Amino acid sequence: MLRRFIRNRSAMIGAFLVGIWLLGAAAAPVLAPYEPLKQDLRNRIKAPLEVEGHYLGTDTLGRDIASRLLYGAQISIPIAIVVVAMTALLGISLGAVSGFIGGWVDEIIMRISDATLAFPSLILAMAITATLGPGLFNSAIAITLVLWPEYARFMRGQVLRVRGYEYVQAAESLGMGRLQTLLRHIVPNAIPLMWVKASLDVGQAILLAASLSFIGLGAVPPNPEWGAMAAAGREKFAEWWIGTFPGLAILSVVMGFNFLGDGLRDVLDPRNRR
Amino acid sequence: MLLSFLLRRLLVIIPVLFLITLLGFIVTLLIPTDPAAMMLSEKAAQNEEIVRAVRARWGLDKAPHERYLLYMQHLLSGDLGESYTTKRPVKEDLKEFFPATVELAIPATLFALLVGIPLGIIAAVYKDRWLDHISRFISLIGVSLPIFWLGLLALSFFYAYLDVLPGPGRLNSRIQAPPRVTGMLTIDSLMAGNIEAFSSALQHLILPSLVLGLYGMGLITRITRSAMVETMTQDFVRTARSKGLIERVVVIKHVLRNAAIPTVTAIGLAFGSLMAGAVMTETIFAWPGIGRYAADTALRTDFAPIIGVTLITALVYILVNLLVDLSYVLLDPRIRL
Repeated sequence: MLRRFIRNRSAMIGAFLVGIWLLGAAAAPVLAPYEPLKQDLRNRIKAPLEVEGHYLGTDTLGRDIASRLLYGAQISIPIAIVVVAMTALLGISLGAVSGFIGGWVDEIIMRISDATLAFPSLILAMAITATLGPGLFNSAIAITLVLWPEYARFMRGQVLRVRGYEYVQAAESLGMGRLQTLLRHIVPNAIPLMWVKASLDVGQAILLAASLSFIGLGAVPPNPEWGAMAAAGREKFAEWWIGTFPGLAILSVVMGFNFLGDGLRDVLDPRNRR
Repeated sequence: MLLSFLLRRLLVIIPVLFLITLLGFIVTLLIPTDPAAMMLSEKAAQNEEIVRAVRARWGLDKAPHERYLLYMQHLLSGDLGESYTTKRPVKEDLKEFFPATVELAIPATLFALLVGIPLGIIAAVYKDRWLDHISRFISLIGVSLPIFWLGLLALSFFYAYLDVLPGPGRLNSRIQAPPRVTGMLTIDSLMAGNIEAFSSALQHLILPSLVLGLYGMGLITRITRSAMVETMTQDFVRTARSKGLIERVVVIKHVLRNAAIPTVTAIGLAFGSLMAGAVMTETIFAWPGIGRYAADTALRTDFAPIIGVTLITALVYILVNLLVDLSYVLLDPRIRL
């Protein structure tokens, strides 16, 4: 399994991009030439390398953009990972319950998921965040509440499919309780494909969180969140570096997670074996 | 047969639409902020009488379940309520903003389909060769780009720097807008015979529709490729090849036709992402469509317009997917509805 992962080009590109950013986030205090929040009003809006030491230039308050990007990685990436973990947990639990119990419980959970899916994700996330009040934590909750239905449906499908298998029926006929069958036999079977979805969704969560920050609902200033930093570059056509670099950061890390997800799919999906 | 299928599918719409209103209402019930405070200036908000009058005017003094019942009563008679933000009936707002979004979504969808499908086919045919790698890379960029950032880049490069394309908005501000018929400026200006307005409207469409379509393009490329690749491993494809058919015939006659159904299905489901993209695209390009309307009102926790926009997009989504199901009959003669 590991060897196939290492041989897979998508997986390796993804692991490389994500790894670089994780390292950058972890080593931000060492790598960053400046404090992310430190203002330097004498050096406002300097182009990259216009002033020595500011490799990617400075923003309207003279803060070093490169340093803010590194510290921003400490915000965007962990939040997205936590959000997807919460989403998966919520969705998997609801989906498992739905598939297992069936009847009206199933009906209610599935109809709620229909309605949630019918909402355009960004609009629902915006409404929830606006309702709870702007902030990173609230936008994380909003994204969780928006993304769970796909996990629930997937898990429900798995439960219904796997329940028909002989080994599960055997386990049940041997007197294994429902919960035990679920945890021992059904969930472990569904986990590999979940990794694929989770990896792709971390990218989506980063994009959603950045979009929310961009319209002013996510991170509150002066947090160096990437979406908020890109928003600072709005309407500043001549000072292109203020918005361009945060956007590139988002693009590269989201691409990393997408490559990783694609690679995992190639590796984990038996149909793709050559 | 067809009729009962259509009827069944259309009936399913009702509970879903009902749940949307309920869900939207529950979300707004959790509001810690008071919509009345959102509407009033700080000074007015301190005057209790004014606040009470405003709350009564918008029905905020009633109990939540009463408000919901009232909303549903109005909805059943075709009234979508009123927006705090625009102080107009939501129905009027939607009538005004929806055509702008449609005008933007059509070229965006066309771009996504006309580039995405061929790119996906090329990738599948040349699987694991450099053409495949290139097209996979392009499609991955498409689904990884932050739309708001792409919009900003496009504006700063093509509008501010090169000055070859117009900036935000739908029409050059010097040009008199054509009389409103469909609400779509390109069509209205043509009907009025106003070529200047038509060309301006068309130019204004280029950047936002490409920005909006890029995500869908990436998605469709990925979907087409994986459906084609999956079909290519099937036995009948091996049979076709082994009986000596040239590769082009195998791809077009055997693979493409059989990969069409999963592709079309996924495209229908991907249609929903267009709306999320429209919110950001319309915000960046100052495009007066329902995406920007939803964004503006969501920021103010304005209940009625959010639900209105969601109902209309859910309806479009359901209809698109109904068309997808109907297209199965054309794509696969074995399928009967």
